Amino acid sequence: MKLLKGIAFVVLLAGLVLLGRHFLLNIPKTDTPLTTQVSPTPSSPAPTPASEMVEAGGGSDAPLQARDREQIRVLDEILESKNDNDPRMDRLLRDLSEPFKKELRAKYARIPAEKRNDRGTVVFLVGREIAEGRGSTADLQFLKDVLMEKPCLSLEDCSKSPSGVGPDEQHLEAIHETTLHYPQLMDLRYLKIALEQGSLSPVMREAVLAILESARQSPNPRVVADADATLGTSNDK
Amino acid sequence: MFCGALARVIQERAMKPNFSIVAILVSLILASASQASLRFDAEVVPELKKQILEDFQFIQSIRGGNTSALHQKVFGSVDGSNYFDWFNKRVFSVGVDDCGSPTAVACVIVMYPNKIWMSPNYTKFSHPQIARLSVIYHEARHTEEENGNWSHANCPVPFRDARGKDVRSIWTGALLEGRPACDVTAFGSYGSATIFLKNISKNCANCSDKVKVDADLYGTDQLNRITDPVSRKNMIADFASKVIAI
Repeated sequence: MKLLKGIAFVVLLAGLVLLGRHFLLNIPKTDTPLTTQVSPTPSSPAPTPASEMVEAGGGSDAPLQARDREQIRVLDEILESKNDNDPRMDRLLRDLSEPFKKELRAKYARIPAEKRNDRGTVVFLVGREIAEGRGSTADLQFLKDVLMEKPCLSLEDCSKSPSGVGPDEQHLEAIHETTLHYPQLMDLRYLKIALEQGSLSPVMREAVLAILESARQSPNPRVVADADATLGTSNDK
Repeated sequence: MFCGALARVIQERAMKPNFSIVAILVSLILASASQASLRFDAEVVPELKKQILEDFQFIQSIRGGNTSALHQKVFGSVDGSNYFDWFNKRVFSVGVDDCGSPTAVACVIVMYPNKIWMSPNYTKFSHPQIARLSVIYHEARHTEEENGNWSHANCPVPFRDARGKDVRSIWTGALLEGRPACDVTAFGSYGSATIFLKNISKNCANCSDKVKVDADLYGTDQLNRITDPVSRKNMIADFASKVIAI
C-alpha cells in the first residue's frame, strides 16, 4: 500500500513538473493587441501601401466586427507560433469581410520585409479569397503592389546583399531563393489558380490578366519570369 | 497512427481556452517521445530546440492517402510515422554550427556521422514550416555514408533554366555551371526532398492549404536542381501518378 502511495505521489509530482514546464514554454499570447505584434518601422523596402481602388465595398470604412477581431487574434497566434499547419487557417480564416481584408493589407505593410513567411501568409489569405471568387478590386490592387516590390536581397536584411557567403552554401540556395521571393511567388500562384479555376467574373479575370501584364515591369526579375510563364500558359488555353 | 490522430485532436483542443489538463499531459508525453529519440548538444539553445521539436510534431501528424512510387521507394507511404522513422534511422543527434556561411541553415559534417548541425538561422530566417523541414530532410539524406553521403553533382556547363537563362548564385551572382550544386539522380538530397515536398503537396490529407501550396512551390524550385533529363522526366511523371499506399 505504501509502495502504491509512493508511486502515485511520484506520478503526480512528475505531472506537475511537466505541467509547469509546458506553461513556461507556451505562454499564451492571445490578448496581445494587433499593433504590438509587428514592427511599425519595416527595416527595408516597405511596400507601396495598398491603394483603395474599390469595387463592391473593397475599401469599406465599416468598423471591424467581433468575428473580424477574432480572426485577427487567430492570425496573430498562428504567425507567432510559426505553425503553418494550424487547422484554424482553413477553418476560420476564409470568407473574409472587407474590413478584415483592409486590416490585412495594412498589416502586411507593417510586417518587416524580412518576415517572408508572415508576409506570404497574408498574401496567401488574400489570394485564396480571390481564387475562391470572393475577391475585390482592392484585393487585386494589393496583389499588384506586392508584385511591384523591390526584390528582397537577403533573409537577414532585405535591403542588402549578404557578404561572406561560402561556396558550399550554393547547394541550399534554391530554398533561400524561394523564400526571398516567397510573398511574390504565393501571389503569382494564386493569380494562376484564379485563372485556372474559372471562378472569376469576366471583369475580375481581365483585371488579373492586367496585373500579370504589369508584373512584367516588376523590378524583381523572378516575378517578371514567372508572370511571363503564367501569361504564356494562360494564352495557350 | 494512434499518436498522430491524438496529436491532431490535441492541436484542435489546444486552440480553446478550456482545454483539459489530460490533453496537455498527453501532448507533453508526445513531445517527450520526439525529444527522447533525438539527442541535442548542450549548445542548442532552447528556442532552436523548441522549433525543431515543434516542426517534428507537425511532420509526425501528417496523414496521407495516395503515395507516388518514388516516394514509396524512399520514404514509404505518405505518413508522419514513416517520415519520423526515416529521419531517426539516419540522424541521432543535433549540434550547432555556422556551417561555414552566414546564410546557412543546416549542414552535415562528414566526420560526424548520424549528426546534423543547425545554424541559428533555422529560427532567425523566416522560411515557411515545410521549407524548414525540407532542409532537415535534405541534410538527413547527406548523412548516408553507405551512399557516399549522396554528394552533389557538378551543375552542367552551361547550366540554364527553363527560359534559357544562365542560373546564377543568388548571393554572389556567380554562374552555378560546374559547381557542385546539382543532382543527377532522383534519390539524392535534392531529389528526395523534392519527392517529399511534392507528395505532401498532393497527398497530405490533413495539411492546411498553405502547407500544400508551400510544398508545391518549394518542390518545383528544388526540381530545377535535378539536371539529368531522364531523372527529371521520371520525377515529373511520378508526381502526376496516383499510386495507392500499400
